[in-house]
Amino acid sequence: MKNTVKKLLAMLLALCMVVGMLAGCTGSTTPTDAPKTDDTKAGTEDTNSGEEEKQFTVAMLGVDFTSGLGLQLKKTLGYTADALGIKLMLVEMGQDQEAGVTATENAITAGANLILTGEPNYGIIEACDKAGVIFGICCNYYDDPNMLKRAMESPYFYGQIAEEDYNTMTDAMQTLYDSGSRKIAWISNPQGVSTTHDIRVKAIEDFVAAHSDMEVVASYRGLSEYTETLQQFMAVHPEIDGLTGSLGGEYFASALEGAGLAGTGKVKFAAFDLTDGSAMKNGDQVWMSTGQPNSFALAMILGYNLWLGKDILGEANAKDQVFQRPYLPIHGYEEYENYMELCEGDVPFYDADQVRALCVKFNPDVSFEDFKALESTYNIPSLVEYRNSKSN
Amino acid sequence: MKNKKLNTAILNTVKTLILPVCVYGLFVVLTGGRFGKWNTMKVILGQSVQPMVAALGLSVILTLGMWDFSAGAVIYGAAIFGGNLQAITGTGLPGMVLFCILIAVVMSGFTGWLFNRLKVPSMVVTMGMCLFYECLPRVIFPQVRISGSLTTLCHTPWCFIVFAIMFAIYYIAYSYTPFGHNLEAIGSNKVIARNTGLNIPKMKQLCFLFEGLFLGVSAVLYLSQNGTIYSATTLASMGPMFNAMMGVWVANVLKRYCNFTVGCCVGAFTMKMVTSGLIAVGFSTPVRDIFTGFFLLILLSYSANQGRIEKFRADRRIAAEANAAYAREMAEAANSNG
Repeated sequence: MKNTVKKLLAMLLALCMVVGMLAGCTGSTTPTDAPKTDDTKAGTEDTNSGEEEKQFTVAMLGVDFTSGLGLQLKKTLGYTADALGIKLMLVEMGQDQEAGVTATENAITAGANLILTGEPNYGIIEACDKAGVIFGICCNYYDDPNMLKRAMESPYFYGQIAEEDYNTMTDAMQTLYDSGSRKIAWISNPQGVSTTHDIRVKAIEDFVAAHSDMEVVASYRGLSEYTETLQQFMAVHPEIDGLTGSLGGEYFASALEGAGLAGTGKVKFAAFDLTDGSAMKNGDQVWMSTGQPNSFALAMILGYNLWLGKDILGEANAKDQVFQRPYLPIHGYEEYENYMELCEGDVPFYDADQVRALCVKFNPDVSFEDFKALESTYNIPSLVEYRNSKSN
Repeated sequence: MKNKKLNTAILNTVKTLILPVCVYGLFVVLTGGRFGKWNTMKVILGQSVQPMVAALGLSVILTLGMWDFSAGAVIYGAAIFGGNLQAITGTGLPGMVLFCILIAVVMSGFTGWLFNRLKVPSMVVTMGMCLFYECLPRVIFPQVRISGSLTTLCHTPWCFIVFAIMFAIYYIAYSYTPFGHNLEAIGSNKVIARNTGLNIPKMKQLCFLFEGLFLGVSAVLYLSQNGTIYSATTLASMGPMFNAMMGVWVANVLKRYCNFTVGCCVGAFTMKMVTSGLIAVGFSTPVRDIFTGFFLLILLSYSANQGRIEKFRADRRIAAEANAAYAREMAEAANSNG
């Protein structure tokens, strides 16, 4: 009896471990979570109009869909998929790079026709090419020429689309500089973990090198304990008047709060990703950026177009290059309020009309120029103007 | 007699404080006095409270000769669940503290129960539970964000009050209760402890529950310090436990000179000072990591070879005494012959 209980418990523990590990690979479809706006409903109706569209499934591979950015991705992609009348599958794979190939294979087995990922990986390319599944890379690019060559050989490769990190980080630094910060500290991920973060760090270093009156007092590259490290920086170097980095703003806001400097105006910060805006309201945060989910939405449209026979980037001979887009920068609290009102409700930055205008199913004349044209209006003032014109 | 006791106490205090004082002095010199100012030390002290409390909890498990890799995941889980439950129930700070402690005790207690039933090495059970506890919040509450008013406990003087309470609980339990004596007995020699009639599985279960209490308080402090916590993945929860683990190792080295509780706190504080000191010197992250790694290596080597070092010293002392005795005898023999 005792042995049976032991065996049962051993099996339970093994099950716990397996569930724990597989939790990173759970797939869930967003349509049920997708915002139910009029636009969304229109998209859903289209879904039911044809058998072929019903079967097209996009699998988004992400680190997780629980953090701020992950949740934004879930919402934006859910909306875009509904607008196009296709299915979305979210696949969490954690920080483990090895998990990308397994997650891709699992998604293909589950019926994915398009893999959306930010991970440059031979395994993913091979798996997609072999299975006849559309793939590409988003918010990143193939920096290995051989990998790019291999991707280019596949007829299922839609291309590379990424945000312009260097100029965006420079914009953040300029905003910080304009706000009066001269002695700064920055934090980032460890070198080599992400090209995106490495480019941002390079931009910080270049900006400081170009401004003789600005100085980096301390820096940190790690995977955790950001808030604590920032507090240590400020304790050890009381002269610090600016904080920045390649990471999200919540770490900076918490650090200032913990150091008792929130709202004092002594230390300003410029950081990526959308936060709750309180630090921007009290003047601590001078810059933030968002918009990565919109790039994934465009990648989804590019991939779907390729599936429908329209190779947008291929026709423009732009597949071997990176289709670079700006981030959506937010300068100040007024822009933040506009963003929250117009993009964080039911409809993301690109509404259903804009999404469909880029899809060959709804607009047979769509071209790369239409995608490029989006760049000039990719800012908060243009969004306000567009939405106002629609409501009128 | 009284004087001898006083001298021993003073000597032991000096020996206990040698490590942190040396670390402090080294960084004051290296930074030209920039490190070590009261404001800096206040922040370091404040930040040390969370790993100190975690170190106290972890120490009971390590004293028994076991490992607990799930401690970090328990802190993450308790913080995320506790923070969200207080928001749902609207119970504010008291609710947050209560829920965090309750959840941590339940989690740790469950790990202890599994360990006792499965009879597999603690490393295996706790590694499995680490993955499980890391993933659990992602299924229910993926993240937690608390308002500024709930972060009070990580600010001075509250963090020190919390620390004083936890220190007192641990000190009394470790030094003045059968629990502490049994713990030390099992830690010193499990076979003898079993033969004297101690119920080891029961003690282990108690230790995990006791650890849960401290991890729960540590979770409250961790949540207060960070404001926002995302659920950890792929063993990422083990990183923040590094300082706590180091605290226990240092305590193992220092326990001959001071109470184990004090040793844990000195250890965790010293580790925080090392981290901050390296920042103040201006080293880049890789260099800081290398230094921290070496520091850990030196401490562990010293801790592991303490017996050999003592034996070497004792051998030398005995040899010196024997040589002196021999020399005396020879001298006496020479005198008598003369």
